[in-house]
Amino acid sequence: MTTKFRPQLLALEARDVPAAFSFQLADGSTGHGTFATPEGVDAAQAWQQLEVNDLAVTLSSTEYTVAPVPFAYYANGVLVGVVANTFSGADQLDLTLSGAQLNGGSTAPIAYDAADTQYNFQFSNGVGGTISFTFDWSQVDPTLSSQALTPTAFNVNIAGQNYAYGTANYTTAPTILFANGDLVGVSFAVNMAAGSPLLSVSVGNGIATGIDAITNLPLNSPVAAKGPATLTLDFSTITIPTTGSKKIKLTVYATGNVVKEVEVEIFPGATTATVTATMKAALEGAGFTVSAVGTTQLTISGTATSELTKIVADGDATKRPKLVGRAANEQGTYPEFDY
Amino acid sequence: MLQLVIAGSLALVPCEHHVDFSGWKGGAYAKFGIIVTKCDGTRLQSEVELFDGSNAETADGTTRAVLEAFKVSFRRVGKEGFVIEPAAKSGIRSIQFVPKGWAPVVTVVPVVPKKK
Repeated sequence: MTTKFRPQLLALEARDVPAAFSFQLADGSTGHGTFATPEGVDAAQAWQQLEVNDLAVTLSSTEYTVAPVPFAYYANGVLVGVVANTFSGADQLDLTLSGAQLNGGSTAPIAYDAADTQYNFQFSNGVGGTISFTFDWSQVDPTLSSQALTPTAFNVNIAGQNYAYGTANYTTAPTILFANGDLVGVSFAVNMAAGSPLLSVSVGNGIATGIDAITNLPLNSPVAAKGPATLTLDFSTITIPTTGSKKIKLTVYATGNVVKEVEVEIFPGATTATVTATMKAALEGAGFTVSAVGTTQLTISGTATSELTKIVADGDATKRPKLVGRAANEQGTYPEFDY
Repeated sequence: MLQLVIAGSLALVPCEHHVDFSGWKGGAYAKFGIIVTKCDGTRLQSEVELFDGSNAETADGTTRAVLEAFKVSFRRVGKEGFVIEPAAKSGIRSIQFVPKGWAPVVTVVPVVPKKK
């Protein structure tokens, strides 16, 4: 007799598909961000306000902390904008339906790309961008050792502008590259609009090259997508204080020089489940993707645009979680857990 | 020959992949590889390590996070498994778990179209 696994549908998971946006403030500094399209976008509804739980915002290479609760707005299923309050030290960056505003200054328009973001890059001058594209995958031939396909749609979102192929000034037409049926990269070159911090952006061999509009010098950045690296930590090892309070502190590292300290304080009467839930909220508030595993474990990934590389826990064994599982990135390197 | 015929038939019929982690009882170390081939031809891979103190939920949760990063859609089934739906919905052509000490049980189930 064979026993078959007979599943029962309990929940339908949405695909984690980041939309992207960018803006350029009056002082020339640029910002960009991503978020997963929330569940429930409905083309039949004229106006929707949907909560976003993984908004990541970067301004001039500094990742801003997003205050709860950010929202995305849709009109008949089309992304209209994001509203959020974000902070970095004393600086406050507000995203409104009118645009981005830093410390109450002038409002800069935000360019959105609601398509599935495939790749992102970040130059050393603080300018970051995202690349989205679609193509007819039925044309992909796994018998060919190399194949180049023309995308059916292609867009670069950078510094408050969308550079869509067909309307923007592309000097090298975008192509999607395959090896034995595997997607291995893209190549293109596009001139930026006047006033952009870059004269042009090109991508080839996995490297984005931007020409700085001020110095005329090339800037390079690897082109990357958010990776699968995760750590699963068990918080049931943490002892609850009987008097006073106890602080649990994690320092989380991700690619793109992301370093965030996350600290929660627990008091007598708390449970390990409370500690876990509080830490989950704190990590999500810092921009990391976190999912609960049971009541005392968390699986922690990077932000929407960066990959987790390391978590360092403070304190002795009564104050820190235990590593129980982890997943490697696509190169086979595991994120570290130190204490 | 019969196996070849069945394999050939499964390649033509939309199939679900039922992934079951309930066999992981923890208390030891294990790892397994994950190879996903998406419909667009993208081949993605990762590897999962499980340590002492882990359980079936840990294995399930850590693997789900990998698939979410790969933008593979699935539906949860209890706390110790999930179902990856046919290519048209999940966006993947195939998924393979490579045991390196242990791996979840994957059952490929053809999807029979509903009668009209």
